[in-house]
Amino acid sequence: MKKTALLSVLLFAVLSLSFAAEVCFSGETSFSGVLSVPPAGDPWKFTSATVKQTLELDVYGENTDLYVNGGAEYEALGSEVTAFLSEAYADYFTGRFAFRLGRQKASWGTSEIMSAVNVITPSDLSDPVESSPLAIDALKLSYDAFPYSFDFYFIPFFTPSTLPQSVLDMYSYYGIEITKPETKLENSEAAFKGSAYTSAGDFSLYGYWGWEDIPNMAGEYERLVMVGASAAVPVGEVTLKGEAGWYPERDEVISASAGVEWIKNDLTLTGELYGVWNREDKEITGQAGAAVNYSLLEGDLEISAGGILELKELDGAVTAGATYSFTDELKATASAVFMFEGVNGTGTYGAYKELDSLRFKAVYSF
Amino acid sequence: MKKLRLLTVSILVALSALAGLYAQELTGEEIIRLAHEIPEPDSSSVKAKLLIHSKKGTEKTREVIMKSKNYGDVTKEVIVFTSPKDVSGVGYLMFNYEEQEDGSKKDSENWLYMPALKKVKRIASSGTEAEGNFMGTDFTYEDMGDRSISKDTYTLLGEEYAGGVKCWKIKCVSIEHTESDPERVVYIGQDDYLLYRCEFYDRHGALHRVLECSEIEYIDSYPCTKVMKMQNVQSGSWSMITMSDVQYNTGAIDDSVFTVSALEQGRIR
Repeated sequence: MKKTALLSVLLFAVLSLSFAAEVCFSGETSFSGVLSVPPAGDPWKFTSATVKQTLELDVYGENTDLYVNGGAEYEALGSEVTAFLSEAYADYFTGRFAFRLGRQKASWGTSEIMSAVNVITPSDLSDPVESSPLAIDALKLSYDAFPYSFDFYFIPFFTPSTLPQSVLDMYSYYGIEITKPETKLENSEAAFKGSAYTSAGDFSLYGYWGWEDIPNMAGEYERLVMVGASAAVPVGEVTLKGEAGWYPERDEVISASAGVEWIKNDLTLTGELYGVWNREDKEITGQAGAAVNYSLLEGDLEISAGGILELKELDGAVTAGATYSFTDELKATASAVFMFEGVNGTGTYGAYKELDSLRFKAVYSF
Repeated sequence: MKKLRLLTVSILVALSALAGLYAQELTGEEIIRLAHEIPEPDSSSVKAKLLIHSKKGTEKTREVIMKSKNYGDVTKEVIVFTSPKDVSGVGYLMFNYEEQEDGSKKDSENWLYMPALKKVKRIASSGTEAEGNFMGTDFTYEDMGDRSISKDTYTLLGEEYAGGVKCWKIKCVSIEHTESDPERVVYIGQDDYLLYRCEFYDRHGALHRVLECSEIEYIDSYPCTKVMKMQNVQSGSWSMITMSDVQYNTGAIDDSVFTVSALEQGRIR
């Protein structure tokens, strides 16, 4: 079935190409390293050193677009090479309708730090500190009647989140096999987003029917249903943001966040509160997050800092970093991540103290 | 293109000739008002290269596509970066509303698309934002926009040549005096009513920036200033915007270009 889908994408791509007028080719080479902060007395050591080559092809015509983003990554410490295909899709636009078929990424919600509704794509959690969204293999139909727009997704192939090696080792230790839902029509996922972009603000409704992207303790992926909403309302110099999601299949039945963002010239400040209502425990657990981003030296240097605080145990994580652009093509980043255990030493973030690290990255793009 | 109005001020030839006859009697405000009344294309599509020269002597280049369309009470504009790679695909969508007769103006609506995050972000509009740097250049968003005539007082200082063209030299002073550059001296061509030079003075009265406009061409009977250079005389940096592929009223700009969905889908080419 996946082969048929792939052939369909290729056929669509060939059709796109036949109408194409422009071809853009670009890429990025990056070197990154993670230096773990050891417990007192232990030596410092690199826990990751990678070279990543990404290539990007964009072929487009008046009403069509073919986009491919993929490459390979070499992990020097494990001498392991991994090829990846981040995105590969074909677009067709006609009037108010747009179709996108293939491997694609999407993002839901208005939150910058902790989202209550962004369930449309799974995540690459192999490095939990720098988790990133993964693409889904889907057909997306969009209808645009500005100020309203509607997106419908049909996702025939389930894509789970990529788990950290330590979690995979735990499943393996207990002899638990992780099993994905069988690929068949009734196991397909579907999603909907409807938005209104008005003078007063942006308002969206979301619906998702699919699977949790992280397995339960039995190694199975459970059904996930979500109905949510988000808003972004500009008020003077700030934008107020809010999200709420209802998850009837989960014990943590309601998630919600509220935040504010202030942008002035080269400075961006963001503050957010995030809460989850657990119907079993009948309690709300909350987190607070903040981020600051400032650009200086005529934009050559960008410094950023952020943090998350769990409001019950007062545990959390802080990050700080700086990126310097030597040229338009070459930039380097240094950052630090630290977890803290909170008042009782039992907080969730404190359990990940081994993620305390200094991180370095150099990127050359062309 | 609305954003280029300040930098591409002109007047109909007939109006220009008429104004010339009575130039001796015109006040600074009347000259500015006439320049503001010039007809503009309803839509435009432009490719622009932004050269940013730092005080250290380093240079950065940005390339963008800019499209705009006038809907009467609102002008919709979209700007998408095409180069360099790290900002390619970043897009701004802006709805700028016309000033009412009572001088009031509805807040602009702004969206920013970041392709790396696959996300459109609603950006708040504020008075101070107008003074922010336009895409990292020495221009501000307000320089690129349409400053209301009622915000300044005007004094005709005399006549002077700028860029080899005989101009009226007019001092414009902000009434509120809250801007970082509350005073400007503009040089308006006496024959064509175009802007050839503008000097920006800071709150201490010191010369801050100097704008020079050149390579002015008429496209579909509308003037287009193809090269604009803004020099920050205090910091030593300068920026130059060079226009190419300028198209006015081609009718090819579909309304669907000025939507959040078009930004997200990467349809603006």
